[in-house]
Amino acid sequence: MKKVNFSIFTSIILILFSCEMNQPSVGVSNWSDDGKVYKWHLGSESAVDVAANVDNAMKDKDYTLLRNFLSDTVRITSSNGTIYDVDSFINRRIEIDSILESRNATLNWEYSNIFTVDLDPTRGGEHVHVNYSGKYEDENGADTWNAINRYYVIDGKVVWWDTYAQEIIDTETEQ
Amino acid sequence: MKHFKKILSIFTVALFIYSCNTPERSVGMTAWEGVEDMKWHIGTQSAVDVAKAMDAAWQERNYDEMRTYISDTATLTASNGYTFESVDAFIESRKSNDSVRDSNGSTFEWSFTNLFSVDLDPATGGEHVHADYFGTYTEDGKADNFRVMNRYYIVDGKIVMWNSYYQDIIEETSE
Repeated sequence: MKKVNFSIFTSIILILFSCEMNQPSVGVSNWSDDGKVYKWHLGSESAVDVAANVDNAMKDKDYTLLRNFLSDTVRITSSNGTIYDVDSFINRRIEIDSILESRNATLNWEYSNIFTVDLDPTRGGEHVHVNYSGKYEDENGADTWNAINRYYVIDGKVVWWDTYAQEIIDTETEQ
Repeated sequence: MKHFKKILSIFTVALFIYSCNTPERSVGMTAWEGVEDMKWHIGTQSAVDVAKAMDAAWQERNYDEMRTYISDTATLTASNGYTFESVDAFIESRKSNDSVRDSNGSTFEWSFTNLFSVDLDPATGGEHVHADYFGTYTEDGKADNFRVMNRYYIVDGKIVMWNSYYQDIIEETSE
């Protein structure tokens, strides 16, 4: 019977090991804080959900809900390099909403892709990437752009939020 | 007991094989037309290596080699929204920028911090390689730092689409 128990134990270890071996990793990162060279793994659906929830709260202008998805110590860096903490970011969003209303302008965006990658699946933290296209419109015309938001998500909260932008040249109005 | 051992052995081997052959995990979403039902998988090292090799060639100003990693019909869009007319136009613009910098003593240095690849459908060609760069442009002793995220769509070892996204870094100034 002891032999059978040993076999069952070995089986479980083998299965767990083989499942672990089935998770490929690629690339390289120089972010290592421990001297090791890490490769990237696929992240988890739960981290993707955090990014989708952030977007929903932003669209609904529900900043109380938005705050639930942001860590108290979140660092948010916009594409122009401005760095916000949680309070200054939400205050800025409220200010932008007010400006849009006063100008009778609109600011709309849609995401086209969300995925997440992870340097070390045995530790918390994933890097969620979201591709956006945005459009600002007022009586003077429209401005469009693409953006990538990268959220570093730990335990269901955004800890870093970095925005990268790509302008879209409007061929009708810009040369 | 003998039969039980045999059954256990067969069960173990079957589970081991099954766990090694379970479909690769995928996460996230895409709204891209025609592939809305797909999720993201981790890509391959070979696609990452294309981005790495292209970067190495660029660093060495070896534009003939750099050209070999870019498809003849590639679309290259800079972070300012400008889409180059052709790959040759892109290469010529690199040479021209080098020439200007060499003549005015300015420098443009960059290094990548992260490289990874994701793929919507591993069964068909094409992967999206993401490369994070830290760049510094120096002129007259003044340095301008910035971050760039390049996204390359790579098919059969060549870059077919190249999109650059930027994030400025606000320099700390001494008062």
